Amino acid sequence: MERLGTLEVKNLNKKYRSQNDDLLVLDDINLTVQPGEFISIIGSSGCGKTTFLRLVVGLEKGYEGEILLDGQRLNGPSLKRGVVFQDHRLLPWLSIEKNVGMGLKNPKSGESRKTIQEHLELVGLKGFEKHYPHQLSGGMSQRAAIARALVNRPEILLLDEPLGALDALTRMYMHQELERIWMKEDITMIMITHDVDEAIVLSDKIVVMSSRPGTIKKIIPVPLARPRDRAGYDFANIKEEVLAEFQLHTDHPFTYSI
Amino acid sequence: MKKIINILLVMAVGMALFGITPGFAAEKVIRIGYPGGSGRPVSAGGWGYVQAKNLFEEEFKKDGYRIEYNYIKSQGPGCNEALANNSLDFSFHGDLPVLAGRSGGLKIKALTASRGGNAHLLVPTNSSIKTIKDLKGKRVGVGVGTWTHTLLARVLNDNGMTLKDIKVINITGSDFETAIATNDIDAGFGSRALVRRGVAKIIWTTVGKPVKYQSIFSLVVREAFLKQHPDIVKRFVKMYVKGLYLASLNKNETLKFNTRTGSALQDNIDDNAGQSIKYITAPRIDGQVTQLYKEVQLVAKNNGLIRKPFDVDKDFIDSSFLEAALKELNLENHWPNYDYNGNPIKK
Amino acid sequence: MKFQIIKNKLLGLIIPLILYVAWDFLTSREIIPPELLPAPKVIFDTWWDLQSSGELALNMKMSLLRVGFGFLLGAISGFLLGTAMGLWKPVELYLNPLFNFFRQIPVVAWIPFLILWLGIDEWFKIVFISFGAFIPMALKTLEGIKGVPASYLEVVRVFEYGWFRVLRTVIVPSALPSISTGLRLCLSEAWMLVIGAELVAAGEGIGNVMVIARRLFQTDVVLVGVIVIAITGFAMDKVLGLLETRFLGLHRSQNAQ
Repeated sequence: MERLGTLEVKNLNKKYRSQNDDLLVLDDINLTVQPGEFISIIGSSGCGKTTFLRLVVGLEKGYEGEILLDGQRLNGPSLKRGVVFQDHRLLPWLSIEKNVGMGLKNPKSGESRKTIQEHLELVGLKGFEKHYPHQLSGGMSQRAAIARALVNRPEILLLDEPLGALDALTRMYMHQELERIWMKEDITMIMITHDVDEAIVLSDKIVVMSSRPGTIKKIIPVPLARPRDRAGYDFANIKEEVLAEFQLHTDHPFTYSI
Repeated sequence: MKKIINILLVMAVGMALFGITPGFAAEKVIRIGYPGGSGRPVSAGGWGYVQAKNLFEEEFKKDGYRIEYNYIKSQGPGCNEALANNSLDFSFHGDLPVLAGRSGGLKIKALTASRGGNAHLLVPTNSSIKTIKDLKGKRVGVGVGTWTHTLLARVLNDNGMTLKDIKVINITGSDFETAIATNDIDAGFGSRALVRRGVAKIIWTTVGKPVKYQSIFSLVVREAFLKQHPDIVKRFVKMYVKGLYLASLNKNETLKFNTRTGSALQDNIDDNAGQSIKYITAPRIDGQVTQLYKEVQLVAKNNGLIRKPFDVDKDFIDSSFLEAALKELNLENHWPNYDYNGNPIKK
Repeated sequence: MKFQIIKNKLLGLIIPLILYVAWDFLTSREIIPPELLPAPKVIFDTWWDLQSSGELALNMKMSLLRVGFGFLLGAISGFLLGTAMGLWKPVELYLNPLFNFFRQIPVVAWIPFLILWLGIDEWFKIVFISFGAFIPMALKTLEGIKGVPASYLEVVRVFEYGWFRVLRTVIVPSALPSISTGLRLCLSEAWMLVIGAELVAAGEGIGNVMVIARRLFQTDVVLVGVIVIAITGFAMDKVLGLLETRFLGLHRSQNAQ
């Protein structure tokens, strides 16, 4: 059986209509994501990366060009694509277990319960089934959100700055967790981020976007072995390469600052 | 400039507002209250003569008092409220409201009383109600707290019913007349004017019945005013008795005079058939009046209209002013005292 | 913490206590004439009298029945309109201007027409109450539904929920606090209006007891009526408040975050 989860984006344009003229947000985006790949999209604010992600999720309508998932043109949101937002968006009136079960057709069935349990274990939230979102920390909430997005086994998981609201240490821990989950689930992931280190730690490819209009400036492969060493020489070189795209050169690639 | 005009405007409005606030003006005024029905704001009988001959105005001119007549649309209960908040000095209202007011702690004294007032139980012309018994479950309009309220209770009690067997609708004056005409209420006590206009018919009347069904109206004064101005009260009662005297001289003349309120002469004649003019103008709070006060109080108590009965004989009636006035006017023997059945007591 | 809460509650009692002492002082020495303001003891005796004779219970029952029916009618119709306007844009576009026009009319302004249409019997009172109760309910329901965060709706769009599951999982729970506030406003409005209705038109009921007492110069009964109305209204709001905390407490504290 051929592996599912190939995303092809061809000549994608997106315009927002304003009163006087149309604003071009995305200009001729071309991208292919292979099954099981981890892709990061990095760019400054306003480069259209969130719009791109929302188009792929199906929450944003109206585009020119093609977005194909396993050769099929996208039409609205679908269970085939999971999404994790920057704010965890757990429903405050549902327990963690129920939040995670939201994506299932029949969350009360025995099979569903098992799936929910597996996913809670996957994200390390076993024992928190009956807790409510306000009882969890930011990192735990985001892990619950990831479990919720994965529970119906989507072909592709889209992450919109999922760790943006977390503190630096929690973030580094979550990088390991995310990598572990990605490897275990063997799923295609596309993540939007501001954080160059995060992108290098996690991604197979980094897509650098420039703004107004949003275009793909460069696609930088990250051929490093996992788990990746943030202090390594290769890491620093790739970081230099990414930062160069933003005209931000570090003079001493060995100097690592926290 | 505009600012000055604005300030002047505000001041003018302010003054206009305060000017009409009762009791604010420092001018000397004697304020008299009456239950105001639907007729013209003038009185009949003794009060009518007092008004027509300007007896109060003449009497109190030299002291600089103005006389103010207030016809109070909410009737006797309204008179009580006005007395309670010092908007009236004297009032002339019916038995139940006077007694209820006193029972409720209103500090008033009864100076004189008038007897022999009648009322008619009316139903719309096309109504099928023929007797009191037919009133069961019907909507009966009555001025709650007015003298006809106890009258209604009394006639219902006579027929083995209570106020709880009917639907009491609190309605007075012209509202009552409209409601009868539009069939919004099924019955109620009112005047012959409605019969004359063809909108109602009489199924029961106090005319020709024992006098216990008739009204007692009392001249009451605020106790504080009495304490402050005993001399004024004395002269006031004297002028009032003068009016009563004028009314008592000729029955036909007086009944004709009473049409000034808007009533028809024939109605006045029918209402007072079989009653002497002396009887209906007699001012003394005699044995008959006190007995009727007590009866009304008992009926009111039994029907839940008065909660705390009081001793009518004690600390409520003050006949001294009336007796002094009768003496000064040489009218001590003009009116006899009456017994319970309304017959004059021979001396 | 516990102590602080108790202390704060006690602070709210100070002014009423001072007022009560002043009331007792001024009336027992007849500085304020008893016919204008009866003394606390008189009020208590009168209350006991009305209570033991069953008069109070009977009239309260009538008033509460009216409140019940008027409240139900108003709350249900308000909820339905608010829900319809909140969920379907066309309904909102068609009805919201009319609704906004309607709610500018003070309920008492309807009295002449309502009496003309319905007479002065029970239907008048119930419809009158429901008119007043309807408005906060419709407003708060609409507000609650309109206030459902778009971010939650996006989550369930991704999960391909049908409309019923969206309603059950997101819209109703999210709008509940606002709807519950609507219910409380609605009940307090209904309780105020029943007194208004009874002051206008006859029939048994606590408001009517006060009208009659006023006409019979029973100031003490009027004041007992005022106090009973206040306590009942307060108690009804408290009960709804407790129910709210009981069923929505958790939910509330989360929204506060």
